[in-house]
Amino acid sequence: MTGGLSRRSFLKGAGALAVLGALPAALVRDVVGHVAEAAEPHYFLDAHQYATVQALCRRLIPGPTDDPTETDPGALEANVIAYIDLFLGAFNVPAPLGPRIWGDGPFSGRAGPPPWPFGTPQPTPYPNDFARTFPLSAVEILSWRTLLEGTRDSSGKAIPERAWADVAAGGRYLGLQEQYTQGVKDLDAAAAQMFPTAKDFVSLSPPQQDILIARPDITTGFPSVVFQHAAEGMYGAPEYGGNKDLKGWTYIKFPGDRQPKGWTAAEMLAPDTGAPISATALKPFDLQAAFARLAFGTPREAKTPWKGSRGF
Amino acid sequence: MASKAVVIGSGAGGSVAAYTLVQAGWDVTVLEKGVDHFGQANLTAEPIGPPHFGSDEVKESLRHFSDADAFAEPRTFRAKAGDTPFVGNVNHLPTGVGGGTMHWDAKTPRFWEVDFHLASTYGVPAGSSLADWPITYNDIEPYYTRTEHMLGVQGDASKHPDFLQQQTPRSKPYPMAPGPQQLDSVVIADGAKTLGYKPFPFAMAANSVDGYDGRPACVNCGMCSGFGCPNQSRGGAAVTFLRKALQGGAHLITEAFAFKVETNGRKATGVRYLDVSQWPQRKEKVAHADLVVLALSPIETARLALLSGIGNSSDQVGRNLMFHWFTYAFGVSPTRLHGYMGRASTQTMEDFVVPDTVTGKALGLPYLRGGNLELGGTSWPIAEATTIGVFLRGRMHKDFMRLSPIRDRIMAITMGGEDMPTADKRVDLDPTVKDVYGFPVARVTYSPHNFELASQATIGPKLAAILKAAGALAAGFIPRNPPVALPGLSTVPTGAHIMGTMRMGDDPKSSVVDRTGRMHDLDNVLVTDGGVFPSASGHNPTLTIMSVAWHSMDSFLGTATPAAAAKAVPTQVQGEHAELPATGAKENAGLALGAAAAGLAARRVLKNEG
Repeated sequence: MTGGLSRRSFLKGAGALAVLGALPAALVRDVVGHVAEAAEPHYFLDAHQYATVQALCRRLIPGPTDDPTETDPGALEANVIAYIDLFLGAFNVPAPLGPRIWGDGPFSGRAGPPPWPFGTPQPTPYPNDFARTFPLSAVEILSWRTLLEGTRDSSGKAIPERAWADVAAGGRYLGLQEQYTQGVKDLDAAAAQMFPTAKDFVSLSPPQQDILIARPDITTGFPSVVFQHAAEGMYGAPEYGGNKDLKGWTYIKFPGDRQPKGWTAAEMLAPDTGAPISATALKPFDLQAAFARLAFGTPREAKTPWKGSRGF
Repeated sequence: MASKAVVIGSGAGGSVAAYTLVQAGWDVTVLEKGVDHFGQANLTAEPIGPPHFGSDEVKESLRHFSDADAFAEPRTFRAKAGDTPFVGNVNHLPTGVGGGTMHWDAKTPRFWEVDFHLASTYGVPAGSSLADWPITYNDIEPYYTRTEHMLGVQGDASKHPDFLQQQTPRSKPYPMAPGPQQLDSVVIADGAKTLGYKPFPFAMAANSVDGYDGRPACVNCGMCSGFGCPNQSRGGAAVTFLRKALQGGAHLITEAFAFKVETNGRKATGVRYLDVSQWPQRKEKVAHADLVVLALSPIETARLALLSGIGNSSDQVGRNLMFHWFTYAFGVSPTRLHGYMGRASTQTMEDFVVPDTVTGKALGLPYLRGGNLELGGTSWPIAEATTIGVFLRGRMHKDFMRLSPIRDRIMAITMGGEDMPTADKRVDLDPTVKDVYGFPVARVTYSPHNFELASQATIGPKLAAILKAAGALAAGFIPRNPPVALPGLSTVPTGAHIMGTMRMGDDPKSSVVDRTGRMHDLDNVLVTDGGVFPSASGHNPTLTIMSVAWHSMDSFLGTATPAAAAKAVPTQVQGEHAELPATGAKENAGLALGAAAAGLAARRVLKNEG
């Protein structure tokens, strides 16, 4: 496959060196140069992008350090940024963990002593299947790389086997990585324009960041894309980088995946022991929109099909 | 030497075909476009081994592990000719070994006796192409029973209300008793009972006992519909029919994209396909065949027939496309209902499947009709968080998640209503958009008939009333005609129940295949997916897809089981002319047809009732 490697690949940590041997020389310099700056393993985002997206996530899903009235952990505490960086850089993760798109199955082992349901011998120690990666087929590799990296190579030339995505998009299909790099640039530009003393989004105060994100022309753009991924990192399985120590699940009283233990008949019918809520508690929320979107998905328009999603 | 059959698709219809052909001594090759998430060694092991699915929302719901790849293989959709098409996921069914049953809800109601002759019993609504089936309930009954036993269905027919027992006479009880009930389903069912409705345990292909067909019992893990089953307790095409077909010697070729059925006169001679295992390296292959079975699911089967130029001498391929017309009602429970425990939903009711001729006639239609209901069901944490999206952020987002109105407290009713076929609801080839392999994608053109809109406007408020009776704080129904009701919301079809496009009938002028699923135009091409359905009923279709497929295959092989002894089924559905509980013809008589009425009702209910 041509145009294989992403334009920005910043690798660090165990296993990175094994991959470096396979990378073009220019990219190796790029990678090594950034390793020194980065405090955390960065699979795609550079230090500034990482900090910017992190700051944005903290406004979208705040924790106690982001909002004095908030008591439960937020994007920072759940390390949501690691989820986003790992997703964007899924193809920069060395094998056998990478490309890190899908965890394997069937069980994470989280639900306690697992009765092994199959006739085959129970593996010991019991594995976390989610921590392994299910391998991608050739078409899935092409599809996911196109979705993340777009349809152009590093010199801007169209990659022939990705041309279908441009046709379907009715123009150049913008990969998710570029949506992020451009999104960070746009946030910085908007920050400097709205608050002339600021040099970028990160240097704004939290209230200033809130004001900027609330601009109608901005909310539905990059912050909307990041919100989707932040929620995935906050409330998804921890094997994808976020939901650290199950903080996202714990505060919403979600027990997580329960296979192969499941639930007993008594647990299923046990009533809630918490105090019932009244209709007043629902008043702040637009349930009409929530219900409608739950039923039929978010609004879609012709010719704006994907925004980085393979489904709806 | 054994005759060679090529079956395209390894889902509900294809797996039945493969199984019956192997039993009859054929040399069977199954071509599957997607990959194998079961692992063939584990799938065919005795007893069965573990699959690669997991209770993992990121993997299954966000990254579409067992869905079709709607990015690499999009479809296009338009409401009517001339509209700018939407490109992307247009009711794609899962792609891969097991097809749609990889992550189906596995609910297995039977179609009703009257479903096979609606047109002659009630008349054809103006503008529709509704037709009787060329086969009857009695023809299919033996196959319903065998398919229920093959899949491993839990249910209790003694709990079926009288009208249902009358419409679905059975030669055998369900193979297993219903498993444990989930709280949200029971709460909603109790509310329905106070209004006089007749809910009962939902028949489902999931083991309620350990060891049925060598598979474990369902543990009610919750992540069911939309997720592959991690412990193999849910019945489906792969773990039943296909597993046995493979054990019997069928060959399964995955990553095989079939793009042309080769013909010579009235005979198909083989199938041309791409081996895409090293894509973008293009490797074209041919599988020679004495028999070709098309089971790609209705939209893709029609696409392949059109790409191949077969079966279309009467311009019927792709027409009469039906989706179930989904109506949702949602409410919020004062207490947490933990819908994450269970099997998606465990209670159903069929009161709204009874044709309503009184209201129908008042609205200019021979009858109105909804579908069976799923009582209960929940969403998952990422879905709850992203449903409102970035507009609910910061502290508001955290409050919403703590309160959990659309996950832990949700009270949901889903109705897959009957969808009236028309010649204009159709699939053809898109003139512009191509898939990753360079072939024109399917273009879906679909707008509802008044039948769906009127049925929804009539029944929708009753769904909300059930939730209110069950104690919901806020309850409303969501009409499936959002452009009027909820501006900006998409009309792209969803729901995963897809029928029609390859209609079964005795007249080659108005159908594509005959009463045994064989193409009128070709002697050795059968269709065994939901494409053959002449009408949609209001029931989850998979049990009927498999049962009709089995009947078609046995008919082709000359081993068809005789029809069930004719039961004395009255021509009129019991209760048909009685007013349904909480229904009044008067209340609906002045109702304007269609979208506006449904939209107004939705706004009224959603805004004011708390």
